Amino acid sequence: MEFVKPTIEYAQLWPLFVVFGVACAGVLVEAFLPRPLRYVVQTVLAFSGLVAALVGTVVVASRLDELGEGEARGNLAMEGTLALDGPTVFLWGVILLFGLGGVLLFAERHLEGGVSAFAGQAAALPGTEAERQASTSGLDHTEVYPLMLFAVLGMMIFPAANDLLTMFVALEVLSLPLYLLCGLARRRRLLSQEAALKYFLLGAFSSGFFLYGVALVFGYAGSMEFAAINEAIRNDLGNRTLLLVGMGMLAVGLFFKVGAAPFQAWTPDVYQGAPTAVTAFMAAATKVAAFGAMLRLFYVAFGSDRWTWQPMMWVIAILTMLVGSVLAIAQTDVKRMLAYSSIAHTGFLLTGVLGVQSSTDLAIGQLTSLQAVMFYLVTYGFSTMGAFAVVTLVRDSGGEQTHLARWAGLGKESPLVAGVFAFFLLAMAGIPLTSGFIGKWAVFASALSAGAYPVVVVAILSSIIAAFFYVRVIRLMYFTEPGGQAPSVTNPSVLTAATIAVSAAVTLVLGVVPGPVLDLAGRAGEFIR
Amino acid sequence: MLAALSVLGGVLLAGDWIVGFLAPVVGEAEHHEPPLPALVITLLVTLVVAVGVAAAWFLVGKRDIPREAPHDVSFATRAARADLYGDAINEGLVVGPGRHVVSGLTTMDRVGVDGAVEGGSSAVGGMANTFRVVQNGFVRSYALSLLVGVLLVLLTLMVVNFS
Amino acid sequence: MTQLPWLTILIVLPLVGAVVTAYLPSRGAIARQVGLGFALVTLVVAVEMARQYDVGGGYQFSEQHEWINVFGAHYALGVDGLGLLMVLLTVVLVPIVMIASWHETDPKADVFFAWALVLEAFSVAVFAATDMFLFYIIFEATLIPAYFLIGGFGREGRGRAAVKFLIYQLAGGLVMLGSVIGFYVVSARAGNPTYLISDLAALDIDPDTQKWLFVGFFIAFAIKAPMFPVHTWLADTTEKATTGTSVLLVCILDKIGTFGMIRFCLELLPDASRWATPVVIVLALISIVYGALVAIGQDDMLRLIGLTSLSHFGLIVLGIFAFTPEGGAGAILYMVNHGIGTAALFLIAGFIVRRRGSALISDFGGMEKVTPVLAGAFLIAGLAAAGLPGLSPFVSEMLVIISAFDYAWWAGAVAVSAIVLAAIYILWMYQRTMTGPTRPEVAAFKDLDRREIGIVAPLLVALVLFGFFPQPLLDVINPSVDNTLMELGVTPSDHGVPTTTEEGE
Repeated sequence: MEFVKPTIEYAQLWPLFVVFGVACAGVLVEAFLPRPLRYVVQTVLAFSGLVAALVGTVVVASRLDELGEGEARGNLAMEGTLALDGPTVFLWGVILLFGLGGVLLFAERHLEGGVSAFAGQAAALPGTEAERQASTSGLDHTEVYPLMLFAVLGMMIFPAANDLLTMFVALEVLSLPLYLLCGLARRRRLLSQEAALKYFLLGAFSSGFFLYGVALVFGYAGSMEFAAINEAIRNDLGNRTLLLVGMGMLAVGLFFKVGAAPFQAWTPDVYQGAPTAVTAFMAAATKVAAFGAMLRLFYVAFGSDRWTWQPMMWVIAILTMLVGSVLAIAQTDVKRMLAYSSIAHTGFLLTGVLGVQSSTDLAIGQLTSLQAVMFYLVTYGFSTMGAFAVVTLVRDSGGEQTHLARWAGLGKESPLVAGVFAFFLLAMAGIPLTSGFIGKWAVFASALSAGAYPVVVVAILSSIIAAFFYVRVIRLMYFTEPGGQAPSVTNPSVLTAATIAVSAAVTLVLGVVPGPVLDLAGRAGEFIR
Repeated sequence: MLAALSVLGGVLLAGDWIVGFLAPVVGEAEHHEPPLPALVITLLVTLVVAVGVAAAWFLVGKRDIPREAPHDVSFATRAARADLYGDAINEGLVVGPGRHVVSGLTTMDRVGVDGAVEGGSSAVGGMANTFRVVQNGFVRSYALSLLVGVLLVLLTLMVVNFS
Repeated sequence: MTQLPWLTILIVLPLVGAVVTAYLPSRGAIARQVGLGFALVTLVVAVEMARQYDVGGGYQFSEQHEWINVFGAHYALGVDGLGLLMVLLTVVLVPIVMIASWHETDPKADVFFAWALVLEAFSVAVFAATDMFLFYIIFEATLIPAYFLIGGFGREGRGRAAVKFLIYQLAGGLVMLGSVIGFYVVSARAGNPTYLISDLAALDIDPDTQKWLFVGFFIAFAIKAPMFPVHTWLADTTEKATTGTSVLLVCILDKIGTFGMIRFCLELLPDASRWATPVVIVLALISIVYGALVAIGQDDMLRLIGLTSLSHFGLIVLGIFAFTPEGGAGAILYMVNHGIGTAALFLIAGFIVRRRGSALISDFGGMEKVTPVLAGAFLIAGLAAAGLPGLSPFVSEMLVIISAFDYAWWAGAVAVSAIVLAAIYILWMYQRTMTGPTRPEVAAFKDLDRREIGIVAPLLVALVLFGFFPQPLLDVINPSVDNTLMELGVTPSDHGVPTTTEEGE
């Protein structure tokens, strides 16, 4: 039997390899370098690796071939398992940016007095002598950097995956490190470990559904590749039930990852328990990757069968938006509140996903749903990452104070921190002059254009409900006197400060002049088959 | 004070300025001629006034005015003292019911209209507190909700396709 | 011919002033002067711009730059008669409010003045916007400085009032967002997505879509104006905020509601406006009577004045939706007059409240013996609100009532009752606070000082002046009203009342 060597387009895929290489190098660093050196080497390695990958992405993007009249760019790579098209490289860039933000936040050591936000010795049981020794001797887990890089690798492959198995592999590669990272908090370790276990169990459960869906769809179409699946659907030869159940299972796996209702139950607990730096990274980057994958799956693989999955998407979107915004009102913990707001945003993103129309229905230069969703992902990611980064600042000697009662009067105590957080909240509420508004506008426009009036009405309703709890926090910070203990803010080092500053700047700039980024998302073009 | 305003009035009338000051806004109105010439009407009015003054002088003014106002007087005098019951009619017909309407509306505004708004927001808050107990912290419940979600997704897919 | 970008200057100048005022290094010792300085410079620039305005010339001082290509949104500014008057109203009232709030906002005066300047910038922008997307963005953005002004300065309970205000207005704004996006979809279907008002006016939108778009816009503008039944945020806000903030809100921001009705509902959605007229007129009439009656029943002076605005705005909406030249002109003139008159009332009431420390009418009595100038000013401002002839609101009120009679006799009859009710609430309030035996708590009050007279006098003079000479204002208003009504298919008549020889209603 002849073995044909597979062609791998290294020249186009080298950003992926850089990330992978740096991750492996990080593991080696952990194994061989003496402890005092590890922190600096790991952070520098991770940071430079991500920067190199980002540069590489830009270079690869500029060299992509144009197809048609600029409607799409790029080509399939790795024997058709990866699609290197416009949306892929756009999302790679976004994920890498969030990865950079994540590295900066992970590396922050000012806030805990010289050690990072991660546990000294994760294996030490909470409350034992071993834990006390680990924390007093200033131990630190620097494995978080290679773990994060593996997660970034998975996140980059996920939206690029052009076939079901690759998608599944990417899903697992991105999820497993995240499960670990969630359990590594230095403070409130039991809560953190509980969050990690919940995420792992529920993630494994939903991955099981995903894999079952992969099997069923393969059974229907006879191939894993999206283009072939699309062909099979168009020819409609197989057992329709097989396709529907498979489609549903695949959707379930993806909905879990983005936190759509009724699969959102893990989100509040995990976001609250994980170290806040991990939450910031996770909330932004995972959604980008998962939505990219969802878009590719539904637009390419199931694209010709829109009318089958759109009603299902309507129901899930409506449910998600309502659950997210209503339940957030009852929250008294900032991280949980932000988690529910994150769920509501997933609902808005789903509203954009279901706004898909064929290009003949759209006017020239009209916003496509792909463009709208990608733009919203950018704006949502930056404002969420910035908001969680600010949450790390409000702390005292006992650790982060995330109970809302401790945030009362923050406006007087630290006007800058309160102002920036208020700005991020306004952006998440979708107030004009912030990027969140333009994102919402784009998403609603594509949904209305596709005729999804009920969904947009519910979206407007849940925006009104959501405005209430965002404004409540702003009011708490500025117009309420501190109750028992006053809020206290710890000054961060330049790492966190830079992340917050960049996020705030992006949120403002994209609110006032979103044109360039919107055009970039438009130029990325459609998915290729 | 009055003198100054009278001068002002004279100035305004001189040149018919006040007659026409609203003209740019509302247009010129036609000036109607009254059935009798204006001067005749003025003379008639002055005559009636003079008769009234004379009557008052002869009927009332020439008599002695008692130190105390007499109590036992005719109905006409009593009516005149009570301003022809003008105030009482006003009070009974307009002011009294008016007060009730006003207080009723003020209450309705606070309780009804505003209440609807505040009630709406309390209802949402109540819903929030009711539903948040679903998030009970047990993985098994979360996994169950995931299962329910799977059924929901499959159901919606099936319904659309087989209807 | 290179033209100065007047409107952009008018927007940027207060914004720069706000940043400077808020971040002055000397911890706000001269913040108030700096803030006032910027407001006065803006006033001068606006007056200079107004001098160059050509009365019959349509939209002027226009600027247009492409902003967001994909949305069809432009940075487009321009003012016609209506816009110009609203801009002038804004730039005149802001310095007056600043001087009035000189001592009231003492510890945080720099914050107050900075937010007031931001509000001024956004208000000018919203009245000058000729692109719907820009209008919407600024429409919502004005809520931010308003929220911080209400919540940060004023009486106990202002935090809650501010949240109520914000959520109410945001809800309206979000409903309007549906319509704004709807316009995008409609213009995209017609071939080219655009948001310029001039382009949208030329679009032919089918009546059913028009109705949905109209409903979205109208709800938002009705909440802004406010109208019955979405008015309950108004009284709470004016009660708790400082009177300076109330002036900014009621006399400037609320005008955005009725401005929007003319600019968007009437000009862009004429068929839907006609369809909705019966309901709108009924709501307007209810607002007129309801607002006045509930105002009569108030004991808090500031709540009372706030609720009178509900009544006044009912009259304005009535004038707008009567679809006659008199009605339109009367409504716009009413907007200007209401701005001046209610500002005077609020500011004088503010002086009264500051002296006593309470706004409850039952805490006052017999002030006219102690502070005659204050009482006199209060009376004039109050009579203006009641529509006394010789003061400017009379002219506009009369025009609106005439147009109401043109629509239907019963509409006119209900509107006329507004005059009676207005007289009741004003005079009764005056009687209870100013006349009668002087209460001991009131006896030590000082009369208006120079600063207070300096603010009130221009407003009162303006009321009297425009009461006798409304023509300059009407000259500016009439062309813009004609333009709007042309969209509705109403031919402009000779701006005059039908003479008594005409057979008519």
